[in-house]
Amino acid sequence: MSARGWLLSDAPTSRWQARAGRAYAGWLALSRNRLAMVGLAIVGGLVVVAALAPWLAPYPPDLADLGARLRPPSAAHWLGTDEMGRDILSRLLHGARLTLWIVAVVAVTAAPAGLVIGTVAGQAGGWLDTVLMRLTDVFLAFPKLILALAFVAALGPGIENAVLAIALTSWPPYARVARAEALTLRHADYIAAARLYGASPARIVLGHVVPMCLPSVVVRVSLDMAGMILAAAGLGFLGLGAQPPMPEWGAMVSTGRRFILEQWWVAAMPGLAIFTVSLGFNLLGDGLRDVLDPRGR
Amino acid sequence: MIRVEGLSLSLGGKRILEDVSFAVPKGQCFGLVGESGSGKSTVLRCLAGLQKGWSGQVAIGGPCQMVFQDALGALHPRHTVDRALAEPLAAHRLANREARIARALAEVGLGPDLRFRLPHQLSGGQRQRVAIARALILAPSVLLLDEPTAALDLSVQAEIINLLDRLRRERALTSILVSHDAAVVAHLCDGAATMANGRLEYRIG
Amino acid sequence: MTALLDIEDLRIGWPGPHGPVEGVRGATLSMGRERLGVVGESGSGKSSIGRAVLGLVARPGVVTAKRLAFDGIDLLGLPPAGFRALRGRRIGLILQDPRHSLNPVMRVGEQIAEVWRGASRAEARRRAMAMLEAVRIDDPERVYRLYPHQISGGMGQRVMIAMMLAPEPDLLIADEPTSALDAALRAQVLGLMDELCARRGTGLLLISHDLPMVAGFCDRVAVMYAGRVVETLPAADLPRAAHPYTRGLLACLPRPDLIGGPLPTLIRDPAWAEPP
Repeated sequence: MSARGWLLSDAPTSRWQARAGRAYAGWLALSRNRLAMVGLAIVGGLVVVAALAPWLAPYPPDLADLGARLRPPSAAHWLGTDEMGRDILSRLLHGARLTLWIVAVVAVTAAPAGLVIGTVAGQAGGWLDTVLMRLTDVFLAFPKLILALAFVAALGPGIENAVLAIALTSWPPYARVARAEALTLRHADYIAAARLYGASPARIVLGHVVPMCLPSVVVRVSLDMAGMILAAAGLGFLGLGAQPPMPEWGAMVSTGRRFILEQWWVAAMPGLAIFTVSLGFNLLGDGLRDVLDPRGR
Repeated sequence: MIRVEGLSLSLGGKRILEDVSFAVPKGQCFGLVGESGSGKSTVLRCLAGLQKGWSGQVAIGGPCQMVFQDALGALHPRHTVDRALAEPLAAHRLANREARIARALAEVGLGPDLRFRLPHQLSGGQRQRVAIARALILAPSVLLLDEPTAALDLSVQAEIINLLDRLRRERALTSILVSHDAAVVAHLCDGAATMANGRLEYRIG
Repeated sequence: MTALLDIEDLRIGWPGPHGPVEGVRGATLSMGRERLGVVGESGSGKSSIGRAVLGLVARPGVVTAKRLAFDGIDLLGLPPAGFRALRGRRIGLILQDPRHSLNPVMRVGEQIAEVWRGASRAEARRRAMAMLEAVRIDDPERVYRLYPHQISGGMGQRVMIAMMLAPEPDLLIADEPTSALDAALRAQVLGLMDELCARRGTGLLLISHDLPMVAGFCDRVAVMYAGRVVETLPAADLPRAAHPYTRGLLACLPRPDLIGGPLPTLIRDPAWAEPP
């Protein structure tokens, strides 16, 4: 039997084969979506670039050459140099690490937090639902950047605190999305059946409700990635996020702003990087939405 | 085995059940027949503990499980047959899961080739068999059946009826069958009652 | 006399990973202004027939037939505009769950009144109200103003019937119209559909898996198996059905003399799926 036949078998003979088969079927569905594959390529490219930045970059990111300030793109400096004569390409490549780190930290903290809060609220109902959702509303009531600003002001400026602030302000929409999904499951017969065979509330939430809510949250997170990068950039721009000379893309745009008319590349190149990565996450998120539809097929 | 005494339920000022009383001796099957909105399914949900706010007395002499009308809705869409059957065992920390699952599948006439499929990859009859296997894997003494064959094709209905009849005899299950189909109730049950407007009307047998 | 619906050797196929998969594999059926029941199990292709008549087989599904005609109109080469002219006005469709077929953000009365778009508002309203009364809704004034989520399944199906019969179609296709309803409501909804169709001389094509229900309600029954009509016979003659599948199905029904023993189950003969 071919590997493909084994994976797509109608009658898998082991738990492992069934799982691998479902993953492969999901991959097939995703790979049929061309735009999603473009998104995956961009995100994959970001990961590779971040991993190999020191070897890919032609110059150290902080190497200032005041004799070569604000040079336009050339053979020596493919994307030009900034106001300190630093190579923009090298800074972008190193900045990819920061960008990836920001989205990763937010994704592994805010998404699970929102998922758990939302599913527990939706599944439990009653006063617990009210308390958790009013708390969510409080966070939602403030514009995200303002709230992040307040956190950073309290915690002190710096990229770590900026990321923490973004994570703290990102979870409420995920909680809302997860709760909306959980609510539709509240009267599902399979939840009633699970309760009946003695599954604990934790088992029901984690084993039954979370898997159904996970796809919408994953999609929402991947669509939000762009916003997170921009929020980090915004904080950097205000001097509360990444501190110079960190090659953070948002901070690079904000310094380039001063030269935007004469030396457009200083702001445009990091801007283009933010745009490309945001687009990549968005396309991938859209593709995932189709593949991860919890209603099977 | 099951004794229901003066079971009443009001929801939002509306009487759903009114003074429902019946008893089912051990090993017997009791049928509830009635129209839509007569409250027959609500009686089951009260007995199963899925409905709150009722008054009266309910005594069930042993662990109880339920089989629902719509097997597709009663099985988690992302859990394979294997997982659906493993979950109750895991919830009770029972050992020897592999053998128990294999036995439960064989008992409801499902081949091992179906074990790792998802509900949407099964036929309606196969899904209902999985739901029955899940209900029985914890070896309950009481089985509540809510229209278990109403959503099935005729030929499959006969197979599921035969399966339920065989299992309840083999395992000496005490059961309550809710159905709109008097012929199904007559075939499976030792005694029955009709329900209308939340009240028990006629008793047979 | 031309038949209201004339179907010969209808085939509906969908491309699959291993070549085209045919859901309907040569079905032949003909009906006048009568009540014809199409009975079959899930996957027998019964619903696809109704969809083909309405031109609703979605791409990439392919419909072919020797003949597929409604009241003398050839449906095979009919452009989408031609189907739109038929749908609703000359052929009505009632599906299993009215809550999926009604527009959720429009009052039910207004949805019925839409049929008389040419008439004045007051006239359309009066007629819609009369339709609601015809489907025995007790308080049409109140129900007229309700939204679909505010009405029960049984009432929703009655609203659907009112809406579909309002344009006085020649043919009503009802695909499992009562499967989502409780037993008692089923009889009521069927009776209503029957009465209104009989009064207007509307042909009724009732598609269902429920053989006893169809047998008790229709003039003739067409039994489908594996994408073909294996047998068409007057409902009254069902006990004398010739095809082993029909007989097997009837034998599966619980009945008093079988109590205490197992029910006979259907043993499928692969030959039933072969072309006759």
